[in-house]
Amino acid sequence: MIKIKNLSKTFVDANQSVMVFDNFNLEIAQNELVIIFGPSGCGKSTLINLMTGTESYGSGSIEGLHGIKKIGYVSQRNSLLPWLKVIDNIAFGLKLQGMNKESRHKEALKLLGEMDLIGYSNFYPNQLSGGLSQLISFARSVAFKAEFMLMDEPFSSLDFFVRNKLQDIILKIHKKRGLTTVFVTHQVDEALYLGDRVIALSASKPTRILLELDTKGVKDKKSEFFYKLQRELLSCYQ
Amino acid sequence: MKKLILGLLLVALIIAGIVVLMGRSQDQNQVKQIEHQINYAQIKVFDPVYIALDKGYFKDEGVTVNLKGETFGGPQALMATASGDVDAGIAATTAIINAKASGIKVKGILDVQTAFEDSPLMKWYALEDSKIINAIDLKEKKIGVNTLGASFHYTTIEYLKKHNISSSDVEFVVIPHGNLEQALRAKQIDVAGMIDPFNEIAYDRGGLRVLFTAYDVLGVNQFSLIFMSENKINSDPEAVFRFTKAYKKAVQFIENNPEQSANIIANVFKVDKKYIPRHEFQPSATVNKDDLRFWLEFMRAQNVKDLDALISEEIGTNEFNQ
Amino acid sequence: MKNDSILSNLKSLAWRNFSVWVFLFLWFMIGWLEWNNKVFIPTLPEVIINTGKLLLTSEFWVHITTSLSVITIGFFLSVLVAVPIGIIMGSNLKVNSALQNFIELIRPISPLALYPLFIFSFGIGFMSKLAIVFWVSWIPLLFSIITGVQRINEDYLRMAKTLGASKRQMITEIVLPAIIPWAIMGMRLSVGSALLVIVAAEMIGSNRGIGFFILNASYTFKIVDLYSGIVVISIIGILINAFFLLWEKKTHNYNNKKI
Repeated sequence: MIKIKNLSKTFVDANQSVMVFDNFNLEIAQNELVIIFGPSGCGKSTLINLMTGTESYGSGSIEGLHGIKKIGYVSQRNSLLPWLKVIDNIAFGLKLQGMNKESRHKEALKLLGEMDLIGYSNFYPNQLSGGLSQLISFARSVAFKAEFMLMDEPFSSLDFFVRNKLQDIILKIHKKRGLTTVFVTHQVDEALYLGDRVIALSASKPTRILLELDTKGVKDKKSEFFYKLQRELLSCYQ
Repeated sequence: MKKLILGLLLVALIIAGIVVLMGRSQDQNQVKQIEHQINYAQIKVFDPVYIALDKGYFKDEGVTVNLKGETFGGPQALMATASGDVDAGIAATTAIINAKASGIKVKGILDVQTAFEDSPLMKWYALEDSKIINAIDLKEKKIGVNTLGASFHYTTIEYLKKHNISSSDVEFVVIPHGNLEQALRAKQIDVAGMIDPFNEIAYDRGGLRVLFTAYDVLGVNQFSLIFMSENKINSDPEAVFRFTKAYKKAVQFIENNPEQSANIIANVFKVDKKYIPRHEFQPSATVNKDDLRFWLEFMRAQNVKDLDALISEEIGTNEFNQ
Repeated sequence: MKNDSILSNLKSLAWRNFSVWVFLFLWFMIGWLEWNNKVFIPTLPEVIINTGKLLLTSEFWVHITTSLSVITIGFFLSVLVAVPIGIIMGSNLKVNSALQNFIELIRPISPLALYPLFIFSFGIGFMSKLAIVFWVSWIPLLFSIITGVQRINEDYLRMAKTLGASKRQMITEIVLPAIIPWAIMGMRLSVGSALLVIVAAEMIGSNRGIGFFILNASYTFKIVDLYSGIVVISIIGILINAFFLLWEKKTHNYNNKKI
């Protein structure tokens, strides 16, 4: 359970100061896949950075993260080690923890199996297409048994078909293993399909929550209900 | 296409380079013979040529001797004749033998360095306080010589042989003449084979002891010659005759005026004249055929390559020395 | 299929060394036509045969192994020194700026100018030659490694940190693998310089080694031997370079951009 309480952050540069967050509140339940949705510049990435600790906030608190030592982070820029094969990349976190080769390869292979990606185990990252790299990054965090997963628009540069496939794999793993996840995107379909809950952030500052949608179980993209949700989400931004 | 052009360019460059290299050895024929002149590779040793120049003997005989270079050694001087840069110089008999064996056309024509009892020229030194006294003490020691395959090196081997020691029981180290004293004093070598003025300067500084001399090993032995290129001999024998005459005059002067000669040489070396020892010469500064034979046989016994076709008669001649 | 790739490999090998073949062919032709200066330019067959003969003698191998042993040990020493210092300098700006200027100062000092100093300190023989090989090897390697460290993608370091890597693991798991292409480049430079310098260094105070062999050959007018010595050095250089290229290819594999 992660609680963001009365978070405030001001961004100051040479000429101006902008209040990015003003008493912002958000709760994320255990094993929940929460979508942070919003247009570019609405503060999604800042929120992520505040959670990872890359940026600092002015006042308020973020609870529930202190105990967590293992945070998984996936972004557009994957950080797969180019000199390691896919299987070794996935097992990397486990290697750092001192697990022996046999065991960690076993773990990695198991995960690859669940993702239907066994065929890629001996590939090098430069041989993978964009989407797959993100998946392997994801797999690395999963293998590592991260307690909290942050995904910052990992699929935004990929095409429609690839994205769909990847979304399904994420869902599958999330269903099987459970993992508290915060997923940032500006894609409407992706938000509604993937998330248990969608948090729509405002474009204007200070950033506030415009809408919260419960999207658990929403998996049929062609249904009327899906279409209804799309309109509801988009209407916030009119 | 690009590769082909580059390849052809390279071919053209290589051909050009080779033509240049080939041309070099033909150069000396092109020099106009206005007067009798000899390009002489200057090697800073006790050389009667310096006396002859100082006393004007060459001028008297009507031959011009041009000193070339500053830091020639025997092998370099020989190499310079092959490329036509010089006509004559000084080299150890062994170096001349090697040069001839490789196809360089030169001939020894005059004596320049011969070991005599009172002036052995080549001496071997150890530090005074070292335990090296006899031949047997040389075992497993480092012996510094100016180069391998030349007089000092071979004479040392002969010395060891005379005392039943194999040359593989010692370690020869190549050190240029000018650095031998330093190496010896720094104990980087145990024995140094040195020639004047270096050995005189070193000995004068103290702390050194003479182990043996070339005379001790070889008796009276001619080990260095003035050589002349066969090209010069064939194209301008008159110059060689005149050169020889002037040279012999200089040798005579040296034998009769050792002090003055030492002065002249000391000026060339830019050292104090007390470091210039007495030099003696073969009668009339001739080439000693027996010693030519000695060195040729010695080198053959050392398994030096390519000497089969050589006859000692070809190495040196006295035809210009009447 | 298999035959195809062997043939195409040979073809590409031939093309890549086109200029070498041209050079060798010309050399051979000049000898065959007897255009060569008999004293200073032996024919290609003469050199090849002589080299072959020499390689059958144990003395020649003593020369080869003497030079190689100095190069190898000197090179490894330089790796031992340059890698840690390079990593520290590459990752720490303060240390880098503190040491950078000093190294720039000593860098242009000709190794052959320092050689007498090494002889004075270490005596004639193995140690002074080792010192000069070390000297000439470690600085190019150092700079390559510094560059390599500075070019490490920050994402990797951050990622490793989030995965809980210890400081030691950061170095062994991220830094060292990341700098390998740079290290190899530096090593190629180093070994090349080492080869050059050992030949020169052996011309003083030696009685063994390829450099000594070459010098001795020139003094005793064994010109064909001189060429053989040069040929052997070339071959050693080629082999060492080939080894590095192979290593580079193996690691470069992952760097190849494939769609």
